[in-house]
Amino acid sequence: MKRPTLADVAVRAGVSAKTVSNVLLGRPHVSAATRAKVQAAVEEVGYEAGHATSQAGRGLASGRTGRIAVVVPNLYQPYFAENAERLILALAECGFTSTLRIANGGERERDAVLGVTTADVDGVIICPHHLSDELLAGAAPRRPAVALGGAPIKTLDGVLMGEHAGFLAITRHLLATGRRRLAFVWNGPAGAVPTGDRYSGFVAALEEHGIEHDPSLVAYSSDWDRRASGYEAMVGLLRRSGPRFDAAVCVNDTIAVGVLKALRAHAIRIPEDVAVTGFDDTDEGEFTIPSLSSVSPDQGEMVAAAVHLLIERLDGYDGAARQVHTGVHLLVRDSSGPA
Amino acid sequence: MRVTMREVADRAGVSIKTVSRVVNGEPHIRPEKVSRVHAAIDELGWVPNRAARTLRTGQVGVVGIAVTELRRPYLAGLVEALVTEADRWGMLAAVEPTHGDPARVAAVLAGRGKTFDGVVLIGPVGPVGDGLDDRPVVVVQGGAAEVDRVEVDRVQEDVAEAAALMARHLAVMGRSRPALLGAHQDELRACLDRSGPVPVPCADLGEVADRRAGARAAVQVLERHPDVDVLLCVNDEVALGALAALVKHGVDVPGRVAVAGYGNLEDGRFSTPSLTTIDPGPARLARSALELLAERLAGTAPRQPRALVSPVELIRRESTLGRDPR
Repeated sequence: MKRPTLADVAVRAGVSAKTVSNVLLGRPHVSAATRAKVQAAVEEVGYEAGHATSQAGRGLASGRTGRIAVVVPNLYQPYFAENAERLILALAECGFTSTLRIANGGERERDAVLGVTTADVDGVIICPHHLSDELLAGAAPRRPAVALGGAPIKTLDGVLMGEHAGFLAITRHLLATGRRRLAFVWNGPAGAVPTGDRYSGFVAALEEHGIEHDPSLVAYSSDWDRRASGYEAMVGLLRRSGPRFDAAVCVNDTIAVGVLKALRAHAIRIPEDVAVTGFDDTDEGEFTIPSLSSVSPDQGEMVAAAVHLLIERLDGYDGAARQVHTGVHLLVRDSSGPA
Repeated sequence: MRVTMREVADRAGVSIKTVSRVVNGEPHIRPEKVSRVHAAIDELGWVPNRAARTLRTGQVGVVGIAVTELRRPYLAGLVEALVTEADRWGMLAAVEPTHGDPARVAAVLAGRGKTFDGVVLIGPVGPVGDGLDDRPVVVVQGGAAEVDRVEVDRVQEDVAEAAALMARHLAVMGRSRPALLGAHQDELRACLDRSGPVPVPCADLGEVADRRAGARAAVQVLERHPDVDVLLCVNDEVALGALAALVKHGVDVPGRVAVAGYGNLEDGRFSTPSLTTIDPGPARLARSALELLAERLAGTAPRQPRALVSPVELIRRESTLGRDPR
């Protein structure tokens, strides 16, 4: 749907756009009756005054603010909270102050990238959950914006995390230590065939050993940012398949933490009976019991790359969107120790 | 689906214009119409949208939330709760990391009236100055350190109740030789000193009270004070680090030593053993903070600063109770 404009409000209220603007800006000498008419019209057409006038107008008038918006889908997923902090510190080293925005949902991510809710800053670095070419529908940000992680986007500079390489590495590690029946704990809807770079990395490693992945050994979780969802996924898998696996390859650390607890609740020993692995190298993985094997997507490198891309845009680079690939490294801890 | 002003008008049997006038407190509206509109607003749970409120009040519709850092999961959770509450009030939330830099805090406060309508400061903080007017500041407690006596509205956890709940739990569980990991509230120390014959040992955590510090301190305390039977940790991160280190060293938790935290992080439900802790109720703290802020913005708050004390809850889990019998 097209975003309602000032003109739409004016037509509905039966006044001039100038009058609407006067009301929006709180200027004096507007009659109470006109004010009420304009207010009702704004409400009826769903016009967003905050973005169109006070913020955007001020940003344009004053030029550079020295402020960058860091945008994340939530803060309860440690990956996002930890990366937000890394970005804020890296930006501070380059002389920028940061403001953090939580954008939960695809439309809010789009609004943040396109400046609707971030009109008060010079640029945006977003850690997206939903952002896609479809969602942006070809729209390019009017001011510098960079995506950290997530799928590549045609109209946006992006840092692409080594998801395929990471899952290839950790699956190879499990195979090298003798695990053969590997379950994949994934964030897709129940019954769906897994897709994406994490799954393709997992399958590629299995194929190297001539193993075809048993589709019954896929656990589904409803929310990959919640530990409880990993618990839920593992309980579901055990109900459907029983303990027919010797490793659980989890889509991230948060899911793995829930999986550890679920296995324990079913008196399954880690790593003796089942090895468990995560992805993200979050702060808690080193202190779970047993400590959690994981893949570091080299967040330091990702953050540095994102800040670099943003600064190049701020300095005037106006070319096509760029995609930077970053590396991974394996973190072998106790949860994938010998059987 | 979001309730609109149109639905409120229909329910009340009045025009949109009348709803608008009632909400703005304009004069010369028949009292029965006013009460019909208020009843409809309550029934439908309507919250005026940002744009409409901006019109009425000349506000930008943004609340600033100043926080030292986001790497501490409790602070991240509290920030998340504040953003959710701001959203409920139809306001955009801008989270401003300060890293404890007074100049940065001052800059955030100076942004009132321009970038933000009002600011929520997650404490502890230094002097705030003004903030009781239509450019409000609300201070909310962010973990075990108490909120300073600031001259603006503040929301704090019931630390006295937290200490009493924990002390009673330990007494019931027969734990009489506690050690503290990290600097705690005076209330807890007082409770423990009253109940025990000897001063309670206290481990210094260094710069950052995180898992690593907790792991280190737990091992040290048990080496120096082998008879200690419960570790009371300044936050859940420290407690979770302590748990991991103790289990790694083959120390039976809670058989030999029990562990308790503060903060009720989600991790504590999933640790082995699960963690006994105090839930400070970040959602409640956030709701109170935004209510205080909104009242200041609406001009309906008293002139004096207000201090709300928010209830806390003891979450009893395996790290003090022992494992569920299977």
